[in-house]
Amino acid sequence: MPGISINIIRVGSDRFTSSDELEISRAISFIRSTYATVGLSVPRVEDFSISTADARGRDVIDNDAEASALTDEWTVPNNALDVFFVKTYVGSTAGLSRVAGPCDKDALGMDGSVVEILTGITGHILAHEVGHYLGLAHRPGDSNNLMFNSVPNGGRLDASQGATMRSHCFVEP
Amino acid sequence: MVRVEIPEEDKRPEVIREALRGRTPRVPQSLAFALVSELDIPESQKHDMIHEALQDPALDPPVRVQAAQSVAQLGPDIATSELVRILEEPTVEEPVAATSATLLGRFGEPENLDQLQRTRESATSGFLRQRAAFAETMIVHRFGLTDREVELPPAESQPPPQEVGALQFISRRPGENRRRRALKGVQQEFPRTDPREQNVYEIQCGPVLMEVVVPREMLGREGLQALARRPALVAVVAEVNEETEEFYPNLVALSRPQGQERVSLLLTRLEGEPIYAGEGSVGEQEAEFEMRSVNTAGIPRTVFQIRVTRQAVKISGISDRRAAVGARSPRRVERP
Repeated sequence: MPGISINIIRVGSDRFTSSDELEISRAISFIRSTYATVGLSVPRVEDFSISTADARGRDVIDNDAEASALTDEWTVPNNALDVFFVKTYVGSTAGLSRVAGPCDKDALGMDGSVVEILTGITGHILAHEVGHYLGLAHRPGDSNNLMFNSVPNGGRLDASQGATMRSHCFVEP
Repeated sequence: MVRVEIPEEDKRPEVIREALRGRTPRVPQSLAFALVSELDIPESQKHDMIHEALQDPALDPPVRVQAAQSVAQLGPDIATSELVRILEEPTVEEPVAATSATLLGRFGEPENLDQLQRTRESATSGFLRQRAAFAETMIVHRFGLTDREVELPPAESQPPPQEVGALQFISRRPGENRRRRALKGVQQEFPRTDPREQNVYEIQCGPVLMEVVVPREMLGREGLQALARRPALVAVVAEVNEETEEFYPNLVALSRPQGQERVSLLLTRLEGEPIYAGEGSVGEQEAEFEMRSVNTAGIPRTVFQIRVTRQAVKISGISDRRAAVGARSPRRVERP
């Protein structure tokens, strides 16, 4: 099965608790099971951390500009998608990503996804944002679909969305 | 981008008040603060709710950071007094102080400069010192103060990009729809901006669409001459969010007179990190600047020219497709 590998980057890692780690583990399980329904695996997940001191305020995302800056300032030098987990994304936004993001992680513009840890729905947020990076747009009229504008939602993907994701340059055959 | 949906029946003061303290699992704390402004209660009660949350010593610093952010929703006047109060706390946590200082730089008045100076001088870390110093810089530039020395962050320019294969700046005036959305985005971070008094110019560079919001008064003869006499916040640059098509402010442009009609121009992120730097000359009819990207992680080599006349702002330039200075690498860890 084709696969997308992910770097899990904890921003402000010294403030992460065991329940945050449990939520991340559940989120990884959720994205694996959801993507598997459309023929896409998540074979490799690697773990990274940025301390609160090194994050210089980016552990609390105050606005979209700060999320974008975070992905500019930090990159894991490998061929996996960088997903930055933060404990707080101020306001009603819970994640941010480019749509059809680049595979060159030093490219102009945002080149990673940012995900807020929210108990019970982090998996939805992770799968939704990675879906954006792999080329999926919103499905505003379908609350059963993972790409509905808000969470929680039905978390489903259809075959055409699977085909779009599998065609992204980050996906390994 | 994905938003968190909260049922309407939970958008009540008694629910949100509990959620602000993390006692309502179905309403995340980060969202509860944003929801205060939507409650159907008098403004004074909204202020009290956030004020109480801010004074709760049991709250974690990241939650207090959110509380400080959320006072901005209550209007710049309330926000200013609340932010000053936070900075006056003898044991305020560094992240809370840094956010409060940054916001005060955007909303505050010249009389808040002394407070920011005290915060800067008493800071025990370079991070807070830098945020407080930049907040002072913002107020000095927003109000064009000439009697206050501020230290701009150092900015070493990158060499220009190779022209072959570079991305071109495409400059134009946006339509009414994009102009309105850009101004709305700028107002969210800079609530004292009067949208009726701004001109908006648009730049497309590769995948990045930016709207440059410039005070209209800067384009007149007096405005141009003023650039050579006092510091100014000459523009806010907003970038489009591809998912929502909303604009969010990403950069501020700060000018400072250098003597003999020469003016320096620095474009920084909202928290003060320099991204583009340059210099130009100001005459009676026009001003011209040559700008280059700063040697910082994640920013491609870029060179662009800004020409300001009494009628318009024209921006042209080129950018590399990828950053010359690689981003920092996070530390690899074992899954806990």
